[in-house]
Amino acid sequence: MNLYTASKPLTLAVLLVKEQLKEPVALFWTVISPVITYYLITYTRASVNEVAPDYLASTSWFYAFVSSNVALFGLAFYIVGRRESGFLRSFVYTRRTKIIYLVGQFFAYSIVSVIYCSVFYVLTRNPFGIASIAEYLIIVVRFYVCFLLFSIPSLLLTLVPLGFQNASTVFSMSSLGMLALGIVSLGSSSPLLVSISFFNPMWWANRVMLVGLAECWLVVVVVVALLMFLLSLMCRFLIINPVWSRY
Amino acid sequence: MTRLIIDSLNVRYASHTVFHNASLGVQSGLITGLLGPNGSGKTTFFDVICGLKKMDGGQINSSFRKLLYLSQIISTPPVFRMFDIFTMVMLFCAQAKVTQQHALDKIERWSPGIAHRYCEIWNKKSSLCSYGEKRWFFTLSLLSADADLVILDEPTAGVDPEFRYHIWRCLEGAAAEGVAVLVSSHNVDEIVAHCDDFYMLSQQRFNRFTNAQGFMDAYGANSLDEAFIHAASLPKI
Repeated sequence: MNLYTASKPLTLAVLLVKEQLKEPVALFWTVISPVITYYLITYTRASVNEVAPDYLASTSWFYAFVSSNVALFGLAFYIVGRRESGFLRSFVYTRRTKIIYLVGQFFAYSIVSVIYCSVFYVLTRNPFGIASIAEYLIIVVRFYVCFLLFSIPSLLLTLVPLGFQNASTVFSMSSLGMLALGIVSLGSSSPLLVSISFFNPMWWANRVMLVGLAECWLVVVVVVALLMFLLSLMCRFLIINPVWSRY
Repeated sequence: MTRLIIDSLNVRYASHTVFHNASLGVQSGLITGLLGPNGSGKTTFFDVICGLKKMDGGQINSSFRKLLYLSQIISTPPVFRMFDIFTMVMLFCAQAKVTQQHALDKIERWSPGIAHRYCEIWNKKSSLCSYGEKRWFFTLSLLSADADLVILDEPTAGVDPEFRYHIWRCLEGAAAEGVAVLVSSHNVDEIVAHCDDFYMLSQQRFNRFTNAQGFMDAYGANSLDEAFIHAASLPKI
């Protein structure tokens, strides 16, 4: 394997990040809207004299939500979009090109996830005092693990033959469903909700953000192993033909 | 001589038979045309060669080193300029790095005087390119990617006469340098005029021809289009 071949996924990732950054609406929706929501909620709490908790306790759900959006609407939805537009069928139809595409896509949204996390940190950290590099790095690493966690169900959804519109609906439902379920299960003692939470990635992501990787090492191991298995599976089963086409 | 030999191909969609004992050959340095009515299976055939669709019987033997396939659907990310799309496509299509200069050298050699048109599209935003410009750009770019077998599914559909002329010049230039080209079209005249041999897809088989007269005689017609219509309307076996 020569240097050019080895660098293909990285070159592709750079192009895909460039593409993502050229679409400011996506950046706004994925990062700015949770920031605004965060400040609205914080403002509402302050008005009822609720004591502001520490930064991570206050923002863990938001970080989890943003990471889920990067995985769902970045990593996975772009795969669906490229399939439905016919791009995959045109250029990504061999096992070799599928590997280049999937690894490039994964690298790209790994970078995008770090960018989104950084923007969210910068925009929300100020009210809690002086930010620190150490804290930032801890949050970025935790956030990235959350992104990996959400990548598993997100990538699985790309294997379902859904058209663009239906995929968009299913992705939105998944995102909202996970968030709603996570918040409803907060402080609940219902055994049913506790059981359901176990299967809710958002609940696990919130936990990773709150307690850290050392406490959740088993989650990290399972996520990395499952993701590697899934990516290798996708190199074989990635759907190439648009669902709308007759092929 | 490098060849692609398809022998006794059988392909079915559920109960619908697309190919029944269909055979076809392609060899290096030649342009082979493929004619067939809409829905007769041209794209399915290309998909089978490229491994996108499984065959139900027959054999495909290829001694080609590198195959490239430009399908009918061409969709490009709208926010990119064409040079970024060129880079992206070459990541998938080329084994070694292909630069603009590399592509221009070949294209200019094959069809002198078009390099500046290629450069104009090169800098254009994808969303501002017409469908014909994209097809022209991709066809020429892929030809420059060092493949020895190039399959093109209706590369001249939606392309104006000027760009169509240059596409055929480039196909002929590439073939002269040893590339095998398998190309489909609904334009019988251009297939007959530019291809070394061509196949008519009729009655779920490929019928080979090397000239216009043989094609018209085989279907008892007085014109190429009439021959096409007669061939297309023959009952399925």
